[in-house]
Amino acid sequence: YGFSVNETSVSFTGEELLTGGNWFNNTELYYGFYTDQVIEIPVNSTTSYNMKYAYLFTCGGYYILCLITLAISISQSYKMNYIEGSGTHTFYNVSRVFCGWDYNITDKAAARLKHKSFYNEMKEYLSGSKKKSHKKNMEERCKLLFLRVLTNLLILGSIAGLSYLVFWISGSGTLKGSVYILSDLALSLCVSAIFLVFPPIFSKIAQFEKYEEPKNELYINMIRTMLLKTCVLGILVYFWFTDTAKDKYSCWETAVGSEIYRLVLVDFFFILGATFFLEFLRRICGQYCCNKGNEEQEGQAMGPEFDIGRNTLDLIYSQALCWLGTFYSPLLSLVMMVKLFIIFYVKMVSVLQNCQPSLRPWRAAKSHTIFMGFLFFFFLMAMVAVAVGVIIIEPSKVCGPFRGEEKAYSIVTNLIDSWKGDLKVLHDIINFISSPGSIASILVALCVGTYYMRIVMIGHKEMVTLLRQQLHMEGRDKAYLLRMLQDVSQKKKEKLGPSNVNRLLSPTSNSTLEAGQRTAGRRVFARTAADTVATMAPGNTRMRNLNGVLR
Amino acid sequence: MGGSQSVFSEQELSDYQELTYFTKKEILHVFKRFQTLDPDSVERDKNAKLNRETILKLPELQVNPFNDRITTVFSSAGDGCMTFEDFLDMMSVFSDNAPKNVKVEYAFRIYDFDEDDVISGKDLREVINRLTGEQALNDEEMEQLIQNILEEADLDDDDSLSFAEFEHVISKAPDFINSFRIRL
Repeated sequence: YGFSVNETSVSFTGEELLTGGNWFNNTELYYGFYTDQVIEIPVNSTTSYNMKYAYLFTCGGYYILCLITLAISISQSYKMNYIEGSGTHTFYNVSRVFCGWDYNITDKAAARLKHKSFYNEMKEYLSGSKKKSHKKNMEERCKLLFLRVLTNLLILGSIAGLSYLVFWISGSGTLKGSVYILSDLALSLCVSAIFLVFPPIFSKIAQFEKYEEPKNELYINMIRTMLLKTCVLGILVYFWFTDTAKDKYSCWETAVGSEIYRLVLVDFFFILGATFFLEFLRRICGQYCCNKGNEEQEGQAMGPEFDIGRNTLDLIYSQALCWLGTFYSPLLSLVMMVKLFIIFYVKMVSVLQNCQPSLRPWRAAKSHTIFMGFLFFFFLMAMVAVAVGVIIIEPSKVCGPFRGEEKAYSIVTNLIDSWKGDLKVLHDIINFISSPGSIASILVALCVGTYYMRIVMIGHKEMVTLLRQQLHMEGRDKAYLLRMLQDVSQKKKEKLGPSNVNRLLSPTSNSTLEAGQRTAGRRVFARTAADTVATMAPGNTRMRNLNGVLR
Repeated sequence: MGGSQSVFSEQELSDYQELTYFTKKEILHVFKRFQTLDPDSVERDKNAKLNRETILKLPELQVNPFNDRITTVFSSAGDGCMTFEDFLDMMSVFSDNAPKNVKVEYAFRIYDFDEDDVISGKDLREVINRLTGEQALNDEEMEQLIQNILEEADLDDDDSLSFAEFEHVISKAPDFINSFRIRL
């Protein structure tokens, strides 16, 4: 359909799979292939397909869909785990004890492990809460503060240094053309090597900082790793938008796309390699080297523990690369799908074969929210980068759907201006909404709404405190009345125990169990009992009010 | 599939589907598992009453530290012997489809060892001992843990958890649904 393609036909050699260049440059994999024409389907008829709008709006729709999905997911997760889960109190002890046993366990070894894990966690928690009373004196606190400032400076300094290294490698011309394929892959190898080596170093440094709670240490490590990845990616994006995009007569978007493809690919190989070396080989070494002292550990799995935090952050980084690259390399999503599929099965086999279950229980619910938060943060960063690329950077003049335009976004502004003739109303509305005044007032309204929600939340918290005190008072009243009841009953020589009062308040008093026992034949099933209770309003008013008020 | 399908009539299966949180297929699957516990007795009478030791041969219950409480709570005779209907009811409460309040109610009954409708300090001590397995916490730590629990959950300060307090706390715990579940 009449687009221009590089006339020199390049044949496909195997190395393109690694470098993502050459033959791939003229395929749909990259931005540069797409035409800027309006395609008529079928030829010479009136139905047309405008490639420019199609490309921009498809990518825009993709990002908006991801945004909506992520926002819904994270808000649901936050609501379930943080708001309903804690409120003013974390019911840590109760949930550990009453939800401590996983009823799904069927295997004796797993059961023994669970017992041990519960015991260790309780011991650690109880000894930790005793140690909290040990107040540090001034000198120790100063030393700790100084140590922490030092380590933070060290880490921030190393992050800055690594970012500069990445910047230098991207820009250095000497590396290019030196070794055959490696010159292209140099940047990707360097970035992946940094991400492999430095996060464990950071966590070793964090051990010196002597955090009181291991949970805090874990969060600090995750934040530092995330900061490292954000800085390196940010430097790369900055380099691409300033340096690579300077030359408008070469297809810079395809160059950026192929660079991201290489990053994704090398990251994939590093994950596979890390799985192999860190998990498989460590298990083999553990089996053959340390056979002597292991007689009492028969039946126990050998091997390292599966580090959930590190693996999840790796996945989040891969996904961030995909989001960054989709605008410049539309088929990258397909590559990512294949990559994630393979990684899942490799990791699954590796965990089942090589790793032993961790003794320290993983608080899955809260961590899920935090990981979703990280994912959302990376998504926002990627979206900002792509938005900058669309709205501010000038597209290249020789390739791609936006060649010749001032900015990729200008097709939208042109479209809106073109409505001046027919759809003046729409044009005026959009102009009004996008004017600074209305945007500012929308922002102010959002801030006021947020402040209102916050005030309501504070009010509810105070209400909860007041109601707790009220319950406490009612409990004292109940105890007083019971004592009076007991005195009276002793005089009348009846036997009424305190437990009977509670029996009146608990659901079993609805005699489901007793009814089932008394009637011969059919037992009263749980579902029937639950449905009956639900329809019986008056009998349970006291309990229902309690529940309603506390919720 | 073949053998168990003919054991129940359509009417019985529909009834069971109404009475529990299972579908017909799942009910038949539960019956199959029930049958494997003691094939001969079930062959003779599908409502045979199996004693506690036989029920506890089920792998999901065998390693559970609360298995005797579970069988007591769900057995209609109260001594741990279960018929198929008791077994079905038990699996229905532990299934994925059972609503949270039903699970909370039965969890309360299971953890109430002395069956006085409150979870007292004694009950808590028993629960914790069963959870730690072979090792046991020493007295001081046990006391502290019980104190912590009562501090968090006991709202009217009567040193025991009534059902309302238990429900209030447990339904806020996000891990409860996932852990209080048995899939056959």
